[in-house]
Amino acid sequence: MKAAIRMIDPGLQSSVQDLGRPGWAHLGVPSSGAADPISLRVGNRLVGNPDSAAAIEVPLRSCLMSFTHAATIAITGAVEQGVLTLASGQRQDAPAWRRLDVPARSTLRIDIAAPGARAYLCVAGGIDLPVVLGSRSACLSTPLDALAAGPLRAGSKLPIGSVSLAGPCRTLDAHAIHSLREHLARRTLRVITHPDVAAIGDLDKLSLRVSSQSNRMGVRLETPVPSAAVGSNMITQPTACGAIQVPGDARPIILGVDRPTTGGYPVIATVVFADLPLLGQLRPGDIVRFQVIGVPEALMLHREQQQWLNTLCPPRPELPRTIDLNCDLGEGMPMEHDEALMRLVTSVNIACGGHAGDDATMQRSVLAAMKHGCRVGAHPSFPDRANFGRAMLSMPIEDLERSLVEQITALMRIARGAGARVEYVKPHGALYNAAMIDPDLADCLARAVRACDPTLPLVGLAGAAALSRWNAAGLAVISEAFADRRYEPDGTLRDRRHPDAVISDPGQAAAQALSIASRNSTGAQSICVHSDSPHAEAFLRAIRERLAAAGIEVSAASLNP
Amino acid sequence: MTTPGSPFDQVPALAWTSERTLRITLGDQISPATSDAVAAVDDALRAAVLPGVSDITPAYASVFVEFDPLTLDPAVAESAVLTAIKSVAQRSAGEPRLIEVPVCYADEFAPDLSDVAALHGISAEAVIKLHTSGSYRVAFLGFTPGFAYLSGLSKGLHTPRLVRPRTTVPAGSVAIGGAQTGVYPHPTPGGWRIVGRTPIVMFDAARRPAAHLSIGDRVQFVPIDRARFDLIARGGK
Repeated sequence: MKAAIRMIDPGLQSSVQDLGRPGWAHLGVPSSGAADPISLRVGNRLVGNPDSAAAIEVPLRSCLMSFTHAATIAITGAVEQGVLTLASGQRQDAPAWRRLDVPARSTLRIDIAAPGARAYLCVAGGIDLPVVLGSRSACLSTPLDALAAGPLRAGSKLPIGSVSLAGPCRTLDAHAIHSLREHLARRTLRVITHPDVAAIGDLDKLSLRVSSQSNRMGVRLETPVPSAAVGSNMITQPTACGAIQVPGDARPIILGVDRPTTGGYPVIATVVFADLPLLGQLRPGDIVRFQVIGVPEALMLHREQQQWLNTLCPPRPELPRTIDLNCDLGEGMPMEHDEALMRLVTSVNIACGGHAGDDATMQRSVLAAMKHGCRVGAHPSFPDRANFGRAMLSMPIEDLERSLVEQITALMRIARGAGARVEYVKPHGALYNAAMIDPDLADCLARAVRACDPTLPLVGLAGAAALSRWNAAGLAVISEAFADRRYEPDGTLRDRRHPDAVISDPGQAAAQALSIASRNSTGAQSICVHSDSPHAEAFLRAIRERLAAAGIEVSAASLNP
Repeated sequence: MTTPGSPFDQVPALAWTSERTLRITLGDQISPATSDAVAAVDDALRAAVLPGVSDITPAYASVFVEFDPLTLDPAVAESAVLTAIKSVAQRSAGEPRLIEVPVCYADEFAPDLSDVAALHGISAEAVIKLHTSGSYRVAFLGFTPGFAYLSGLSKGLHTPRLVRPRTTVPAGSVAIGGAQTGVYPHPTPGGWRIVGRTPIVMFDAARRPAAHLSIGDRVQFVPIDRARFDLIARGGK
């Protein structure tokens, strides 16, 4: 049984939160994430997690949970101390802002204490719920679990991630804890006035009371602001976390992490980034004041806050980031062409007779891949050399499966003869595109791979339906993204018929590769560059240069089991 | 006014709404030309792949660019955004997708259809005819995951919102609110008048694309009967 936390009494709208899912606002998806990211990050650092690990956010009241296995935890935020009850019935204090080891079958109670509204329970290894659109955070404004788990319920079981991924734990001295508590108790929010609003000189003089109607969508203030600040409704605009909206009743709402992504109320000012965590700690009844500052000061505050936190409690050293580069080869181009690209990639997808290639080209390609230290992958296709595997072929699914098995085993046989091994399978051309969305073709590929070697991973487009299907079928999966193809805003590939579907500038291909490798919004483990592009070599050089400059290593190491 | 040949009716205006958000204003009212400009700027900004940018969010007449100012210097961000806006003139817009959204207007799915008809002094059939003959465009997505703001509702169907919003509107509900029409992707509270329901799942975070509709799409509502609704809802075609 996997280690887990079981919610006995989740209190009021407790939820799982990490640093959120930015990048999807254009689909109407709020960023979500911890309402007080400072407490989350420090808690994660105390137990050796990366800042972005998921934790339990407990608002306003209390929360009772139990641990199936021994675990390392930290409680941070608006809490004095937790109460730990061991399996023997013995009780002990669980002080906040410290790393604690809790034994198996112990129970932890967390009570929220003023000043402040939210506590965080961080656990070494993090809460290991499925990642939805790049994050494990619940979005409490979208009902019916459309986005990750909603509010936690009694009986919710939260799996704990692998502790082996945790780094060194940090400790805080009494002074550091005091300084964190003091920081989070501040009730003056620094704001930047909105460009549409003529100078509101009085913003600094307001004292506004926080309403009990506040939640993760927004902090509602029950004191009306002077009527000069109340505008009429505007046409719907994008919103920002921290934006101070003034609806018709003149009672401002400071938008929170689960805010709607667009809205029509006028905005008077926006809370600066450095003070957003304070929004998560505002309690009903608190009195809030604003202090107007300029953009340069806001930037300085942001920078200083990062430095302060990093000195107080350094982040876990970053694991070296790596990304695989792959290319389709052995498709009948001159060997010099293929070898030039093999010098630059880490995985080669070798045509195995379906759309191109024969025993001789497979043999040459495998030897060259070995020479250049590349992983060998099988690149089967619809058996359709006339169309280079680029046309949809209507054939009985059993015949396709048989052909795929023949193609993959042909390369396996040749690789074995050369002292190498086929390490993955990536479908080609029309078969690739169709299998990503067609479950019948995805299943056919899965059966073919299983017949050849059930440990072989299948490569597919990051985010495609086929990947989860293969995963569910028990096959390993490698997700890839393209450096030389444009993506639509929703993460799908732009249609090839679109005039702007293909990237032709090496600089842009490199920028896209960096975005794939660093932000990893697509979650891709490998980047593909099309070998038939006249720019393939220039692209690969530009990509390598850009990745190296960003400290990202090109390697297939992380793909090996 | 801009120079002839410019893709913009109005010179794009940049303003900082905070130290991390740059707003590009492309108009001051809801119009097809402004939506074209918004979609073009949105597309150019995405194509520019600026490191440090976390969100590019379009709406009716503006686009917000949110970024991490410690990764991307605000001055650099501003000039990159300007460059992207300039590139719009050279970029060719692709043909918009035409997405057919099947809608069952049967009574059980359309609690407000008869009220809408009565308010306009026409029959329910005439409301359905007007609603399905309209050609709509997705101005942008917002409010809740997968919710598309559709413009192009026939004037003959502009209807005031409910005085008392419903606490829950079923997922897939097709509704009219003021001059707008749209599909509720999830069960949410809502004050628009419900005239039908689609069996299509408008948003699924595990699917790619997650949202059924995308900025710039043209949408056509297609009337279907209850049997067809059930068939599509079960996964048939």
